[in-house]
Amino acid sequence: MTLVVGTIIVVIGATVLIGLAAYVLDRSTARQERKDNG
Amino acid sequence: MDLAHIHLLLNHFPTIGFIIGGGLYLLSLVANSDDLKRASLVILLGIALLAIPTYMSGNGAQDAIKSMPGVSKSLIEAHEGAALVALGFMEVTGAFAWLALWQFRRLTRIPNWNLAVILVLTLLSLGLMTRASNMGGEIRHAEIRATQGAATQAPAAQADGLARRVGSFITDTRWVWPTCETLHFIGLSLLLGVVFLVDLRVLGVVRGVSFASLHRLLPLAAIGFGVNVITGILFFVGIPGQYIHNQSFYWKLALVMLAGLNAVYFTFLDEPWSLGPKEDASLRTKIAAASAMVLWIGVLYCGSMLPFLGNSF
Repeated sequence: MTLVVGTIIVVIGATVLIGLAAYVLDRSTARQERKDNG
Repeated sequence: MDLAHIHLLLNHFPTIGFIIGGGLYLLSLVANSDDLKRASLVILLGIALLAIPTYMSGNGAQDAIKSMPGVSKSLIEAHEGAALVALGFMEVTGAFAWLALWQFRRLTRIPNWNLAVILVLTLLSLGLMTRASNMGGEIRHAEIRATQGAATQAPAAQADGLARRVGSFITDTRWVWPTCETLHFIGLSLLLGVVFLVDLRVLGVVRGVSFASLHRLLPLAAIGFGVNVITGILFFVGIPGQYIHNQSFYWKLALVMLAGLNAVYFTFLDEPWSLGPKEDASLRTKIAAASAMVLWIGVLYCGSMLPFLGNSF
């Protein structure tokens, strides 16, 4: 794997994972909050 | 005082701290006490932070004793590898402990799934850290070595512990270091973006925004911090030699610990988060917010100065 391709693939992959983790956490907590508040 | 002293000073804290924090956590589950749960989670989070300088000072201690007679390189590297695994589990435990504290403020309870995850991770971390501590003790205490002869005479080929193999992967694979550098900056942007937003609101900027709405952003800062802890540890494991003699790195680590303490203040105490739009924070909270900004700018400065003040890279 070349330097440029390797860095770009891993950085994009990691950034997508970070965004996905933050989104899922935010949505699931908001849903739980709505459920708890009736 | 050098890193060997600091390692001796710190190396019992992760094990004993997790026994105290884990014990308190078990008690909180049995007694079903929210206050005990939060207190134990703060202890687990604090110890997870303290485990970082404990691990890193170990390389300084290694440097100080590796040439001494009777000191086995294979025992040192086995201890280093075991400590790296234990550190990884402790940091994950700290991350879930932080998440639980955040969830408690938002939902006024901690979801059962997270309580179970923290319990399992705490027990695993404690076991792994106890094993690493015991292996560390064996380096200088022949009386507790189970396999004294075998360990001290291990062939050089088997002497490369896990940490050194990870280190070789980081330095020998061309894309790993620049990728970690990029992710380190992404993590930094997430962390400081949110931290500065919260701190500026505390200091009176954008007063129309409530703290509750900013609280929702905190996981982004925590994820950014997590990315930086992971990539920072990878840099260190890759080339420990360029950090353990670097004054700028010592200061950076000390400032990260203080900033972490500051973050615990904002995570644990209720006062800043009970304020609505247009309401002013107390002087104590404003001082905490201003000091957080100073501390994180200090971390940035020390990180940037690693090559200039400490001849790294």
